[in-house]
Amino acid sequence: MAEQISKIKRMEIPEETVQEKNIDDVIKAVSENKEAILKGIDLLDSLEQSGALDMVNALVKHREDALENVMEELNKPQYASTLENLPQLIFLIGKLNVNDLENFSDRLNHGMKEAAAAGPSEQTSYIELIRALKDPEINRSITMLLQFLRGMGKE
Amino acid sequence: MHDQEHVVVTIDGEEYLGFPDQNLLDLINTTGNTIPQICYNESLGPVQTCDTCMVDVNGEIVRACGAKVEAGMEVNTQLESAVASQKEALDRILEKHELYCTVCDYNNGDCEIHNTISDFGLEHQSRTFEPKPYEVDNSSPFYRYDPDQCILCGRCVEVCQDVQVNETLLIDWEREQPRVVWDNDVPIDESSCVSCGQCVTVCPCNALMETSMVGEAGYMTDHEPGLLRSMIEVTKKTETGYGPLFAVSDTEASMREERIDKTKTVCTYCGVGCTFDVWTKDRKILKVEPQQDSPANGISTCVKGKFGWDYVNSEERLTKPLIRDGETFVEVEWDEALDYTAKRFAEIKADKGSDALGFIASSKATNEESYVMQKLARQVYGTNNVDNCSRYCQSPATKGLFRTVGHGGDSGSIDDIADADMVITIGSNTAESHPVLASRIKRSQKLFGQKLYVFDLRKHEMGQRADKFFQPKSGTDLVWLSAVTKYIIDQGWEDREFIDKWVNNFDDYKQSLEPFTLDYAEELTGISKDDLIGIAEQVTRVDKLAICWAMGVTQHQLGSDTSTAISNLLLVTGNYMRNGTGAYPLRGHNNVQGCSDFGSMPNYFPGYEEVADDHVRKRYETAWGVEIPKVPGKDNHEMIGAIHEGTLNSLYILGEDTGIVDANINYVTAAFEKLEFMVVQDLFLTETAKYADVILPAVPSLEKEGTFTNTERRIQRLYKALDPVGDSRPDWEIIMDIAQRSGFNWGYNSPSDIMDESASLAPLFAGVSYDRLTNYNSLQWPVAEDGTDSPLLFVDGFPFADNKARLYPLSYELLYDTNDEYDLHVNNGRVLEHFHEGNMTYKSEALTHKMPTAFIEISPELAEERGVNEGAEVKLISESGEATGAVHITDRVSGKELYLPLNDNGKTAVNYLTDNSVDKDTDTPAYKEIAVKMEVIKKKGKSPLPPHNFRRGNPQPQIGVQPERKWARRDYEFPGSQVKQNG
Repeated sequence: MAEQISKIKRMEIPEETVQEKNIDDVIKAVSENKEAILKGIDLLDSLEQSGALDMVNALVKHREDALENVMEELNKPQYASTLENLPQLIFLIGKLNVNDLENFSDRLNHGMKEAAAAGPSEQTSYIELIRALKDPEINRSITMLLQFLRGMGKE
Repeated sequence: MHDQEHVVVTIDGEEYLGFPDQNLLDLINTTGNTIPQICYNESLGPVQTCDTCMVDVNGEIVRACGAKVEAGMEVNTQLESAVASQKEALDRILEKHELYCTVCDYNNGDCEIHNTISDFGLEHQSRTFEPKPYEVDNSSPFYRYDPDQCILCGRCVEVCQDVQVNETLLIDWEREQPRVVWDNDVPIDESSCVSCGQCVTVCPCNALMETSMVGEAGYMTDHEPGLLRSMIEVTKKTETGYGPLFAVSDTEASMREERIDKTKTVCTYCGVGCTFDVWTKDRKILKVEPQQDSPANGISTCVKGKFGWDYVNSEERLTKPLIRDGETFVEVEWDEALDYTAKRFAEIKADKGSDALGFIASSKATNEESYVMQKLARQVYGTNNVDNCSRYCQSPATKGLFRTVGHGGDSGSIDDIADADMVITIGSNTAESHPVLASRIKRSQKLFGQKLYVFDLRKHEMGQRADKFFQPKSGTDLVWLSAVTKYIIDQGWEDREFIDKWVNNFDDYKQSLEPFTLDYAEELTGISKDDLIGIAEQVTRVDKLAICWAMGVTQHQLGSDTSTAISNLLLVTGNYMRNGTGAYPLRGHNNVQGCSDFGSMPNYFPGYEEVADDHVRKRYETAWGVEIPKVPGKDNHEMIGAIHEGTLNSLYILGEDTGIVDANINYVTAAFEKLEFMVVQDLFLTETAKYADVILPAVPSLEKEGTFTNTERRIQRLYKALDPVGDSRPDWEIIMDIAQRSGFNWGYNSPSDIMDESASLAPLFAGVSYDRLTNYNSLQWPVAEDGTDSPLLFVDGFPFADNKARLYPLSYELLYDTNDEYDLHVNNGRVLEHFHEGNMTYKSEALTHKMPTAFIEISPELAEERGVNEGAEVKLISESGEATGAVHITDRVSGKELYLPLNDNGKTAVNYLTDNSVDKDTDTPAYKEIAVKMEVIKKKGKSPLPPHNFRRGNPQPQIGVQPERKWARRDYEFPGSQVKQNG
């Protein structure tokens, strides 16, 4: 003889039991992933040392505000051309010949070193300029610049 | 069609074979050439709105999807003018659709605009996006429409008009800025939209999207609208060319795969057996995505299958086993609940014998769970007292078919119903009970000239659409069916050749038809003689006839006989053994077919082999190592009677709210109170569970594996999409544990093992195995050992000794009528929005928003006579009990007939009214035979049907999306002509 009933007495699981089970789960996961966890701790430590951890934490918590600020800023007219240029710049980089550029920039660096070493008040006369062409290093530079100008003028 | 001779077509310089009148785009798609085709969808056919599939045919630029294959055709897809036309069309689409893929919820790798632009290699937009002057329509709780993202491809309109055939969506091509409109341009929620979601499924982009996807699918889409807008702007600025945009968004799309799972499952809301992928993110259900490969439904769904899954995450789910302790249920651990259950079963068996135990399996659970339930009853406890809820609905249909053609299942597939020249439905509210199947009939009738004759008390949607609609008096279908059959034979219109070759017992049967004259039929059914003759003429005029029937036939005292009469008519007219013909009892629940197929019946082992057959029983006894009683057990109805008599003392009910869904529930619940021990296994604390001694928490379909068998006898696999909630467990595991505690270690590791055992024992399923059922693969029984299945049931005759079917003589006696006191007839059935007693669907806020309560439909005539208005509160009183509810006045019902949806478990539950009368052959309750009187409690009130219910909408039927109206616009230019001018 059973009448219709609908009251339910929920099983009360003591908080300690839940905690124990959760801790067991965590210990198991830690033990299975020892290497990753240790590296993770190392990473956290570095972030903490540098003060970045607090910053990241704050940023994540305020991500919606941050994103809104950034987006609002980026949508202002003064950024429009920068943003539109950004992808163009990427294409530009793609077109550069990096090997040649490397060679060229090495030479530029040498030049700048020499230039910096020279006194700012030194002057060069016309005669000295003609004479300087005999210097093989200067001659090589001038020749290279002339070639560059030829290439740049090509249609 | 395939036998036709082929024609040779040259495509890009190579010759291909097509067949005459084949769609050119279809042929191109078989050649490995890819051309853009955004509005084209194989399931819909050519829509011709997007103009992207431009090709050169014999020097002219045409839409490939609008051209038919002709012999000698020269097709070029790569010519500059063709490619320029394609590009022009794509540019026009991008004027209407903003590409901000990375922050779009539709960026899941299957956006057809994204993929088309990417495949085409379009790098830059020639013209800028033009916003449209319309707001997003967020009115529906199920999906939303964003006109700004809509490219007006019209797939949604096509599917609504011609696939679902609800005829709600249109494109208003004439207004300055065309858009998709609902009905006569009302918000979605106020339209005639039935929320089947098919428009959303076919939308190629994010214009139509499930509300559950919005802000959920992407990593960066869950932001306030203003912020999202800024992000869209920035995205557009930084991603000026499409290359970088796609690189970023494709990466984001593949990141989504990390957290969104797509799992194939089978719907649990009716016997059609729709299959689809369910997208989940943790426990959130993001969307349901039917597939073109879904065997029963293709891209179709109804509102419940597409959107009705909230119950899975309901707070009310049971999460721990419960044991009754005085006035309360106490939560316990599984060990305690199972030990206690096994101990009590054993005690009762020892005390009172095996047959004091009863077992009720569930037509909502899997085939494997039906198999283990009957195995538990027969092997572990030694009783055949096992049954399932098909007793409540479909046993009479099965009986009628066994008598005549030997198999208790649909003669063919849903495709065959769609292919028939004529469909008759009897006692079936198909559009609400089997919506996806109804759509196939609606489509065939609308587009392909199929004749539809509907016989029903109530003028529901199918009745309104029918070529001919008849309202025979309740319970008299047998009479008109027999009279029509007799008239056909009297006229000599029977299919003589078929009968001679395939049918026995013609003469006896003909003799038995003597009383069924046209006069007699007219008098009993109310259908005129002329109409009866008209029906006979139409039935014999067509080549292929399919008859569908449902509870309006079976839930009567003569349910089995009426089902038999249907089969007799089909035999006499030769409408078996061919595609497009046959008998289709439309199964109500997802696994009504399978639960009986797999043996949870008192007289049958799995595969409908008789328990009483010594040879068969021996096979199971050997396999299971026990003796099984020879005498069939008790069915549901008999079990309830036996409890009252004191001979059945224990009941184990799986997934069935018997105390609501059985007839005459006052009598049923009184029986529950007399039980010594009662176990209920369910998701929720149902009305039935409240009587139990032990309640075992089970899981829904999304949380387990298994198979269901749909109305077409199609066995389909479901995969586990979610983990069980709390400590709940799949039914098969629970049953296996009870068996183990009673000394039987079955050792199944998964449902696949159960299926293997069943296939090894039941010849009907010999070749069924999980390996043959992976993903969207399915098998229709009988399945031979080599895996050959049977889409068409009767190919080489009928499963009797001489391969011949049998005509089965019937007589008729009017058993039910209203009388002076109980003067109203209550009809009952389903509504689209809810399922069964509502335990699952009322957990969905959105479904409840559309239909908050059950109601009582009464005719305008009766309302006037009794002086009641919309929203009145009335009490219906039958000889068995009473129910109260709010009135909805509608001409779907007429005269003194009432309609009460069965989807309620409160005071409006129809089974307070039903009584103990049953089908004389199967004990199926005669739910459809209720005479009541009506008392008016309140004369008017708030209508139970909200203003935003689809029944209040104004459908706008038309064929397809009507692209001609787009082409006729003054601002429209054919891309091909434009390219020519410019070039």
